[in-house]
Amino acid sequence: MPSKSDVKAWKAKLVAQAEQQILKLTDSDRFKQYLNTLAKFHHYSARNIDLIYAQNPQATQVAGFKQWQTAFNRTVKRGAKSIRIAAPIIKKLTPAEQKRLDTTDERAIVGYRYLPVFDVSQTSGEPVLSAKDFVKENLADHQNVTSLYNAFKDYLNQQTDLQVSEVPLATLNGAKGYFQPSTNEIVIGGDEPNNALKLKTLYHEYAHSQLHGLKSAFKDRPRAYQETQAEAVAYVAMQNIGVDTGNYSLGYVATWAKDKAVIHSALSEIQQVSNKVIELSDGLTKQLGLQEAQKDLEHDLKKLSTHDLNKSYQSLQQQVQQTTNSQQKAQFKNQLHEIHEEISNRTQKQLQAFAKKNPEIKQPDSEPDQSLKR
Amino acid sequence: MDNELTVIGSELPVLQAKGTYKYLKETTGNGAYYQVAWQKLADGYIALYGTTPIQINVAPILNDIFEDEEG
Repeated sequence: MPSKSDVKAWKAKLVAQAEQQILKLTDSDRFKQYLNTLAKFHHYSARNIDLIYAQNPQATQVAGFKQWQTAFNRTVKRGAKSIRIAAPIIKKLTPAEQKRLDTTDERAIVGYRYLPVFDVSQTSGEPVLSAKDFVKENLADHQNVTSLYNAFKDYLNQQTDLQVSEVPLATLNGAKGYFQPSTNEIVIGGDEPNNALKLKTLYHEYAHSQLHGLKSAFKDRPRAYQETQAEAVAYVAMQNIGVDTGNYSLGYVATWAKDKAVIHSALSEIQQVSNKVIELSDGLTKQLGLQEAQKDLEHDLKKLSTHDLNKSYQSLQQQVQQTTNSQQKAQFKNQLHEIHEEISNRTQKQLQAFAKKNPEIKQPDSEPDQSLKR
Repeated sequence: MDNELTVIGSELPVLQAKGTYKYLKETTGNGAYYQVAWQKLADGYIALYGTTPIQINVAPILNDIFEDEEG
C-alpha cells in the first residue's frame, strides 16, 4: 500500500503533466489533436479531457477494465497501461460533519480518485459497433451533409430565436457567412458549392452566436480570440460527424496560448459550446438516420445480427424516453415492439434448438436420489 | 445517455428531478446556457442546462486512498 504522501505526489504529477501538455498547444496541429480528443469526450469535464489528452492523445473510446468485459465483450490486452481520469468521491454527510462544514447539504465531495480506464485500442475482442458509426459512414456522403445542414438550419429557425438566412456569396465581400449580434441573425453564403464547407460555416456562425452574441458571457473578447474559438467549435463539430473539410485555419492559438489562465478559460468556453453543438447535431443525425432506417426496417429486421438488434432496441428505447411528441412516441413504440418480437422469436428458437440437442436436461428426475435411501 | 463513466468523467452533479434547469432543446438559442448537471432517468442520464454551475461542497479530504479501485 503506497503511503498517503506518495499518492498525493502521484496525483499532483498526473495533473501537472496534463497542464504541461495544454500549455504546449501553441501550434495548429497540436491544437487540432486536442480538439479531436474534445470531440470524442465532449461530455467529460475540462480536467478529464486534459488528462486523457495528456496520457493518450489518440484515445477514442474509454471504459474501465470490467466494463470492457461486461458491456463490450472485449478484454484489455496484457500489460496495457491505463489512462487515469478523475472521479469525485461523494459522501453523505453525518449531522456532525454538516455542522463542522457549516452546511445543510446532504452530500459533499470528500476527495477525488483517479480511475484507471483503457482506450479501445488497448483492448481486443468483439468489434465495437454503434449506431453512430453507421450514421457517420452515411454522413460522409455528400447528400447527407446537405440534409444535416438543412435540418440544422430549420431547427435553429423554428426552435430558437436565431434567424438563419442565405444570400449569394457575391454580396458577402469574400466571407462565407456572418453573425449579426444586434438582430441575432446568421447569414450564410447560399451558393457555396461545397456543402461540407457550408455546414462548417453554419457551425462557425452558430458558435459565434453562442459565444459572442448579446446573451452570452464572452461577448467582449478580442476579435482574433473569437474567431479561433468559433473555428475550433466548428472543427470539433465536423470531427464529430466524421467529415474532414480539409483546411482549418486554427492558427490564432499561439497569440493567447501563452497565458495559462487564458488558455484554460478559452478551452472551457470552446468545450461548453462544442458540447451543445455535438448534442444538437447528434440528435438531428439520429432523426435523419432513423428516417432512413425506417424504410428498411421491415424486411431487414430478420437479417440483422443479434448484436445490432439489441443495439437498435436500446437506441429506440432511449428515443421513446426522450421524445415528448406523443405521435412520434407511439411510432417509436411500435418499432420497439417489432424489434422486441423479433428478439423474443429468436430466443425462443434458440431455446427450442438447445432443448432438442440436450434432451437429458429437460427430463424430470424420475429416479429419486439413491444416496438418500441409505 | 447510458454510459455511467461519462457521467462520472463529467464531474457534474446528478439530480433526481429536472427542477428549474433546462433540457438541451430549451437552451439552444441562448449562449448563456451550458451543461451543469445530469438528470437520472430509469435507464440512463439526460443532460441538464443552466447558466451557473451547481456548487457542491468540498469537504476536507477524509480518506482519499483508493489506489487499486477498478473503473
